[in-house]
Amino acid sequence: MSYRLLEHTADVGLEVTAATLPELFSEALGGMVEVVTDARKIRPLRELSVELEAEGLDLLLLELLTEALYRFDVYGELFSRARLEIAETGEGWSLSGTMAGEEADPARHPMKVMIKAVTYHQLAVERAGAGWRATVIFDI
Amino acid sequence: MKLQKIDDCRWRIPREGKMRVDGIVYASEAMMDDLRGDQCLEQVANVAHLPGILEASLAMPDIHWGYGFPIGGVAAMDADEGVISPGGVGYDINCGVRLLRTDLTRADVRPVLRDLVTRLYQSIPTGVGRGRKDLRLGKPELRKVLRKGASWAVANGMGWKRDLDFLEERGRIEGADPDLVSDRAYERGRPQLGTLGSGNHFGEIQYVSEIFDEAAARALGLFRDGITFTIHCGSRGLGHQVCSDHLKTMVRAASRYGIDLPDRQLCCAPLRSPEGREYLAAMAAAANFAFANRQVITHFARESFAEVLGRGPGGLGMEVVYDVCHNIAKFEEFDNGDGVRRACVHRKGATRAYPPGHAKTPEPYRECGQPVLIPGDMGRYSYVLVGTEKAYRQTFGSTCHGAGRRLSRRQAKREARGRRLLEEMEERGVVVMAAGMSTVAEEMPEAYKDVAQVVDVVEKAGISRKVAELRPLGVIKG
Repeated sequence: MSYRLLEHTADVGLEVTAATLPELFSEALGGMVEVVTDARKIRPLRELSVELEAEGLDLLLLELLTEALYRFDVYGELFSRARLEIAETGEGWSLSGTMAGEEADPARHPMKVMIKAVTYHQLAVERAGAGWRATVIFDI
Repeated sequence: MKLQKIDDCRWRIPREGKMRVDGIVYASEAMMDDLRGDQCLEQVANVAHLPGILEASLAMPDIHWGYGFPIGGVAAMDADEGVISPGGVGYDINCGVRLLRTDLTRADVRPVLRDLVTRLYQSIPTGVGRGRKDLRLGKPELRKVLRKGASWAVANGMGWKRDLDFLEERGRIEGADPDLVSDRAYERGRPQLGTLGSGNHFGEIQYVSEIFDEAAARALGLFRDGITFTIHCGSRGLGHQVCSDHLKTMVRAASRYGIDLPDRQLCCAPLRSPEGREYLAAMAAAANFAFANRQVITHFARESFAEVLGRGPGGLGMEVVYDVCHNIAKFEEFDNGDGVRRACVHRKGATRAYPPGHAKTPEPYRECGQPVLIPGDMGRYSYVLVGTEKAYRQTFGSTCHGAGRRLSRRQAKREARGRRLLEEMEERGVVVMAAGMSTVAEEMPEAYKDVAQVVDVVEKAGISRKVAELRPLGVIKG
């Protein structure tokens, strides 16, 4: 389970690999938080239930990351991991579970840069060997 | 990818496959050497797939790899048959630039420069987080902002009525519908009016370092060594949320209308469809928020200058030179002698550049043309240009918007490691105050291409004319 930031001229890309889909989604959250601040310093002090649906796995990941971004912009909360169940539905995919993190504290979490949005450009969630890989590009 | 040289400043990507028109890129030979093989050229070709696109998918010389549209992209869509694509506007709806002039000279500001930068930094919220506590709007008031744009701020004592005469579209885009803006967008926008944000946004004190066209500079109120202030920001979280909300609808709409796209980020809907109209009305609301945002920041800047210089804002001659949008889609009319043509012009990292005599150009600028504001990087220079007849005929009245990045954000941070950037900037005569050092590293001068080269290409191509060069003295950033 790992993530790495990708080179993109104006914005920031993220590539995540994991053995399972729930791990992949959780790791992607961590990778997104790493763009904003030091993700290792985010403690799981607060939990938030999430239930989301989308037509594809890639769109489901976009929904989760967009949800976390909204929580940060409005409530100042940074969620860097999640415990999720991901299932196929009649119309696509759904996830349910909890995101964990804490309210950002400027003293403990110096900000790097703000993410404006999670884009659809080169967005992908795909099988990679025995596990999964996701690619996401953020608008900075 | 095939690339044909048209002349010294233009390159054609010939139509092939499902492209509906050619791609045309404005660039010098040297720039094109760097661009070959870059994903941004593919993005120019991708935009040429959009239904109803007129003449060509255009790119300005500050082109770089974006998401969906290239940054620096211009696409005009037929008003009847064309589509609207939120990706052609971007998440930061009506991100733009405003230039204020003053009667002050460098000599007036030099002794108080640090105080002035500090005061501006305290007064204009930057970076992540919330805006000023004295500007918290309830939803009913925010709805008025979305309808009225900059004029809302002026009506509430933040600016002068004459400011509105010098804003693109007079600081308000028609047809905004606050009902089409989601609750989440309101939540995000509420504490953010009057804030700069992070990334490449900034406020900058500058001086006029060179004048290329005396008559035009005089019309714009610019004189050598005169002090100016530039504001670069957009619609903040409200705009980002409007774009995200409507992209979701558009992904489905594109498949419903049978629009075949090479990149999902280009998703779109016919301009005449319910999805298209709804996005346009929500986008106009977000654009109006951005106009109001720059107007409120103008007010804070005037207060800061007045306090530090000990003169009232009126006594400083701190007038708006102009305010341009560089992420927008708008209905505009073009008359090239064969009848009026109406088009929805998408400018994603591009600026409107109307010619002398155009009815939409403010009266005092009718002889020189519409001002075009091109920020460079925080260490070198920025430019004030004016629009031309050729831009009107060749690029749907559009030109470049900035320098374009040379290094990715990560490369910039790597190159900045171990350096004392703030001290380096001071040695260059620029006082920088920023919420985070990480942003300063990502935005350091070397991270950007030389904006002078970009401006030289648009001038040589005849789609803009240089009026003045501005050099930075003080910068506030997120």
